[in-house]
Parts: sequence; structure tokens; C-alpha cells
Amino acid sequence: MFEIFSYSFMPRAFLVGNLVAVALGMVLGVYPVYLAIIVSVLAAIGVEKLRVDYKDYAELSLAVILSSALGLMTVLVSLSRSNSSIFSYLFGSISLVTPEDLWVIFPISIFIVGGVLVFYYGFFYLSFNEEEAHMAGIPVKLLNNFFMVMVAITISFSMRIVGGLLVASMLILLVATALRIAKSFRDTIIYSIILGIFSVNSGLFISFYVDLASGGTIILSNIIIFILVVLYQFLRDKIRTKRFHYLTSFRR
Amino acid sequence: MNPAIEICNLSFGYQKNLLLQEVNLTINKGDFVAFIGPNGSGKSTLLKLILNTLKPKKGEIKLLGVPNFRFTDWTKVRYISQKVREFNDSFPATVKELIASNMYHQMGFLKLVTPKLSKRIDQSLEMVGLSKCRNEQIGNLSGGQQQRVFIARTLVKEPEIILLDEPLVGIDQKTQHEIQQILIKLNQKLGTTIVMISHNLESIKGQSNKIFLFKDMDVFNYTAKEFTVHLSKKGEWVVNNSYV
Ligand SMILES: Nc1ncnc2c1ncn2[C@@H]1O[C@H](COP(=O)(O)OP(=O)(O)OP(=O)(O)O)[C@@H](O)[C@H]1O
Ligand SMILES: [Mg+2]
Repeated sequence: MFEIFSYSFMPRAFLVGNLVAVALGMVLGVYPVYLAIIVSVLAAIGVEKLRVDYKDYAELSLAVILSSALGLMTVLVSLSRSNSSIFSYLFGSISLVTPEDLWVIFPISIFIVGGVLVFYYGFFYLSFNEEEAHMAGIPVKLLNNFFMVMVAITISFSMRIVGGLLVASMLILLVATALRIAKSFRDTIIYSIILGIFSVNSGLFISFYVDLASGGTIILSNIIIFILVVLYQFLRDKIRTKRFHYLTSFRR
Repeated sequence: MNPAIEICNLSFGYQKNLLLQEVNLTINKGDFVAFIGPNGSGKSTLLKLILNTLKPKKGEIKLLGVPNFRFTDWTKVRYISQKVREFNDSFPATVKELIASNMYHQMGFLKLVTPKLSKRIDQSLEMVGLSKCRNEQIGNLSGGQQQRVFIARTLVKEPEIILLDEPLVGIDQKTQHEIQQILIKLNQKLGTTIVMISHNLESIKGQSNKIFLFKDMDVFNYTAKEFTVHLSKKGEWVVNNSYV
């Protein structure tokens, strides 16, 4: 939706930043979430800088950076002895959530929701047309970086239950579904929030009772909702045109 | 007379070759100006020079009496680009949201629409005759309606000068006429200075008081009265008895 997201490597940049942080945290024995936020913010801001400064070579330089980060992560993981928990970080597990997290998540959600409200129409303009936004005097650079920070925080926290490999897909699926039903920017945001809450909760519920990796079940419930929406719209349009033909056939 | 835009000995070229050479022109407040000339004669380029997005090789441009590189009050000078309608059609934005985004700096601490701003949006939509489309998705409107929305979007800033780059391309005759009437109304009722690039030579005589013809790296100034145009047998435009 945002221009920065239309570059397919952006979610990957967060993802790799996150995984490197997790691996680093395991080697150093540090609680990974805070490290993950810092590392993925740095990775994202670096990638954003590349995107702006080297427009023509962005794809190539990013590919180099992402592969080096992946290599680094693999080495770090093999250094750490307990590489069983990396599985939980890749695919998600509710057991990774600590009571301490809940106390951190609360102020952070206020920060993110507040951040969106404070800059709401700035983000709107930025995603509609970055160049025009710049000409209209919107602080494009500041907003892009702030957005990165918000995404990095969101991803780092969601990573525990959704899994590092799947968290970017979840964000994209939510927006893709919301885009199919919404007719305005505001509705797109509201629908993706509702869908997010619903799919994470139903996914967690199922994963708990059937004993599956929570990330997978959450993504699958996302996909089921997406397919249902597409199917519903397809059938509705079919019926509409049928009825239209039926009605117009009398006119002759 | 109060000059809105003054251009003095301006020369510019993208590469070594000059595109505009020693151009001089003055546009006064309240003028309705048409820029005409063949493709590639530098009309869009001159608008970008005026907006200070391109830097001249030589010469000076003043906006409302201030050299344009020192000009800061850009809400007074608005520009509708030739490419304004090239956006992603499926972008989920309503007409209201799109116009609201242009009032970012008038919003309070939370960048949201207040009732006062909402009224401004309604007023500007009324000006362009689109009050009914307030909550339509922008991608679902016709090209002519979209162009009117973009005009409304510049109007919420209450600009003194509006620069439009070929706003009527790809729009049917009737809608073209409606948009021209909107611009004329703005010009006459609010005294907004309008500079419009156009290839529609028949209709510009009726709406503009000054016409600038771009030709041979220079710009020639005509008043609407002395401006005559007809098509030659070969299908070329003939302005005041010389070929364009
Ligand atoms: N960014 C650029 N870099 C190099 N050359 C350019 C650039 N933009 C335009 N030109 C060249 O400058 C010339 C004038 O372009 P400009 O867009 O000002 O023409 P125009 O009068 O607006 O034409 P049209 O009627 O087709 O819109 C053209 O020959 C074009 O190829
Ligand atoms: Mg042009």
C-alpha cells in the first residue's frame, strides 16, 4: 500500500533484520525483542536510504545486503548452542510470550495508534504519491522513517506468535483482504485492524487445541478469510449480471 | 499593475543546447494566460522553472515580487502537473480524503479533518460541481471528474496563482467546456491568476486575455484581441499569419 512496500524487498529487509537480531540475541544471551527492534530499524533505515540515494541500482545493492545478512544469521545461529528455539522464532509459538511482554505491548500500542493519528493525512499523502507529497510540503523523509520504526516494532512483537518467516506475509495479506472490501483509506485501515485481531485470535485458538505452530494457523486463517471474500465477491457479481440479463431480456 | 510572475532574460537547456533563450515575459495578477506551441517547445519546462524545480542557466524569475529561489509561500502558487491523473486506479481513497490530504498544514496536532476543514472541502467541491461525488472512490471517476477533483484539491489552499499543464487532454468537449468555465469563474470571481498550457487553440481566445506562443527558443506575447489562428491546407496552425 505504501510506496516503500511496493518494493518487494522491504518486508524482507525487516525480516532479515529481525532474524539477525534473534540470532545475535541467542549468541549473546540477550532478550531478543529489544535487540530485534533496534536491528530491524537500522536495517530498514539503511534500506530506505539505499532506495532513495541509488534509485537505479537499488535492487542489486539490496540483494547483496540481504544475502550478507542471511549469511550472517546462519553463522550466528550455528554459533549458538541452543538452536532448537530458532524454530519457534521462525514459525511462531505462544510459549515465547512472557508476562513482561504484555506490560511492554500496552504502551507500545498507544505509541503506534497515536503515531498514526498524529500523522494520519501525512501518511495518506505519502502513500498516494510520494513526489506530490514532497511538493506539498509534507515531511516525507521524517514520515518514511517514522513509519519504518512503527513497522519494525510491530513486526518484532508479532514475530513471537506469528513467526519471523511469516510476519511480513501476515501484514500483506491483511491489507490485501481489506483492500478488496474497503472503499476508502480509512476503511482499509479499520478493516485490516479488525481482520488482524480476528485472524490472530482464531489462529491462536486453533493452534492451542490442535497443537500446531501458531504462525502457520494464523496465516492459514488469513488466507481462508481472503478466499472467502474473493469467492463472495465473485458470486455476487455473477448473480448481479445474471439478474441484469434476466431483467433486460423482458424489455425486448 | 501588480506582476504575479516576471521572467527576465531567462535561458535554459537540459543539455548543452538551449531550449529557451533570453526569454522575457510578465504575467499580472488576475491574468488568464495560455501557453501554446508545438510539442517539445518548452512549455512544461518553463512551468517547472517557474516552480523552481529546475534552475535556469541565466536570468531571473520573480513570483509575487520575490525571486523564486527565495520564495517560500508555496500555498499561494499551485501546480497541476501533466501527469496528475497517472495514479494507481485501485488506490483506496475517496474524493474527500484526497482533497483533505492537501490541507495537512492547516490541520491541528492530530492530522485529521476538523468540521471547519470539512466545510472547506465541500465549498471547493461545489466550485467544481462535484458535491455529489464526495465519498466516491477516486479511481472510479471519469477522467474529467478526476481532473475537476484535482482542481478542487488546489482550491482548498486558496492559491493566488494556479499553473495547469494540459488539464484538458483526453476529456470530451462538453466536460472541457465545463472545466474552462470553472477556471474562468475562479479567475473572474476570486481574481486567481491562471496559467494554462493548452493545445486547444480554438477555445483559448475566448478565455484568456494573454497568449504566449512558444517558438524557436523564444516566447511571443499576444493579447487575445490581436490573436488570430487558422489551419493551413497542410494542417498546420497559422498564428497571426505565420506558421507555428
Ligand atoms: N528531464 C528532462 N531531461 C532532458 N530533456 C528533457 C527533460 N524533460 C524534457 N526534456 C526535453 O525538453 C524539450 C521540451 O520539453 P517540454 O516537456 O518542456 O515540452 P512541452 O512544450 O511541454 O511539450 P508537450 O506539448 O509535448 O507537452 C523536449 O525536447 C524534451 O525531450
Ligand atoms: Mg508538456
